[in-house]
Amino acid sequence: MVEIKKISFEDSTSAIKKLPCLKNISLETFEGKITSFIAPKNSGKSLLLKIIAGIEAPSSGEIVNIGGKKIVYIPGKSSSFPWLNVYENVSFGLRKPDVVEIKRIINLVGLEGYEKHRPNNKSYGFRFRISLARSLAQNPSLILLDDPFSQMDDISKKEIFQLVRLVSKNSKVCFLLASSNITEALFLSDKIYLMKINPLEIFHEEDIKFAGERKVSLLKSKKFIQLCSQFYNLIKLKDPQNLFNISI
Amino acid sequence: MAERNKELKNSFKLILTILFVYVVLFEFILPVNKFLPKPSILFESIFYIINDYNLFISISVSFTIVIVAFVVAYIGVYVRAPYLLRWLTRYKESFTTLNVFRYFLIIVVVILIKQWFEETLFWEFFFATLFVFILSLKKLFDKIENVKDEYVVVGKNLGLTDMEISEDIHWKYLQPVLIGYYEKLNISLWSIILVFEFIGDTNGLGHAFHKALVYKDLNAIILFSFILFVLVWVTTFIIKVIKRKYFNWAD
Repeated sequence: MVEIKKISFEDSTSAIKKLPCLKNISLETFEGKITSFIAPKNSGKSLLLKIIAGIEAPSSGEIVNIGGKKIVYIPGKSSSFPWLNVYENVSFGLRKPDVVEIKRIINLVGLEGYEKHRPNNKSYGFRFRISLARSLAQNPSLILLDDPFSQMDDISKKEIFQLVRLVSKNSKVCFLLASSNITEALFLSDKIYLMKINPLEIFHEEDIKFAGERKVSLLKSKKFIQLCSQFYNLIKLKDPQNLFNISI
Repeated sequence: MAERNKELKNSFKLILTILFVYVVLFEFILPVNKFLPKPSILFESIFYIINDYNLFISISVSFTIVIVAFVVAYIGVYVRAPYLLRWLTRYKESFTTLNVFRYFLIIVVVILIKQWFEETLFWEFFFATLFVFILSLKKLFDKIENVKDEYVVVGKNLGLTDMEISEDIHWKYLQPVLIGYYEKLNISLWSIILVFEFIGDTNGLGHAFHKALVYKDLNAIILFSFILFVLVWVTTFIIKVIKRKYFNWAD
């Protein structure tokens, strides 16, 4: 489990006025569960994830990584290296790659038979699978997903939704998804935080529960659509100026 | 594959068309003119020109220097790539000031080198290699900003050191860019080599051109121009094949 406690960040690059970007953000993630936060585009979601991953430093606050394992960040744009094949991509960054484990992970994300293929000229869905497999190969405690579905087509998106749910359920990894799309966050998550900007801060949190397994048909259910509208109205109420930067 | 064949076919078509126009125009329509020799006369004199100008040796010298200069300069960059890339990112500002040297005419540098050093094949090769090496560094410097941020972020997140990021990410990303640049640089290198040999007047195709100009041998000049065109095309083709086969991962 990883706990994010009161993270704040101020923009130190602005010489005239320091603009607070993130304010007192506390999030909880749980083993085998997906936590999401919904915030408008260009609001500092990536920055928050980079702080959690240890790539950027916060102005204040702390990240409590109870398991002590790695926190892995998957960027929004394709980050699988085009000069490496699938197997090499998945084992990238490992000092002593375990061949059997890597093959298991490749099979788990649905890339069996593609080990020697390179990701250039492949779909976003294919490249996301590689990034996910590479993250799992690091045996992490938390995987951070930075709005990864925005560039995928609808068919790939639905396949990847199912895959991420399956992986989170079967592994003991926590997932934290940053999204500006209510539907995808709601479908994937066990817990959702809503955020507003200037500065980026949480104004609402809610546990998400649906009866039974989450299948694509859930997206068309009455309860799901109602919940989407409920979240949309909440954002409309709290952060109306940025509503156009949220999709449903 | 089909695209490659098409490109190759188009190049052959172009060469054949030029030859056809030349033969028809200067053999049958304008056999007597002040511009180009009659194709039949040129054809008859080919063997004499080859012998008189030691053409095989001249071609071998120039072609070898071009190819070896590319290979040695690339190996030089390859061996030191992680260090060079780190150095380039660290001293970006001071490297930018070196851009002022673009105003210096390369021909002046050639003349200076010829004044400073003896006329040997070694210095010609050294000069060609240095030319490719420096321009390779400049290209890397210009393009290092284009390395996708997400690749570097992933590298940092997975715990790679700065040196590993330079080696495994920056350098890998830039390799196809560099080889692609060699396709263009090839023409400049041939020009520089010819100028060097022309001024030096001892080795290579440039030397043959010099001799032909002194003798006012129009047939030889035309033949050398055609050979030069083919050589440049062959070198470009070799670089293209290498890029397609070994450096084909550009996004």
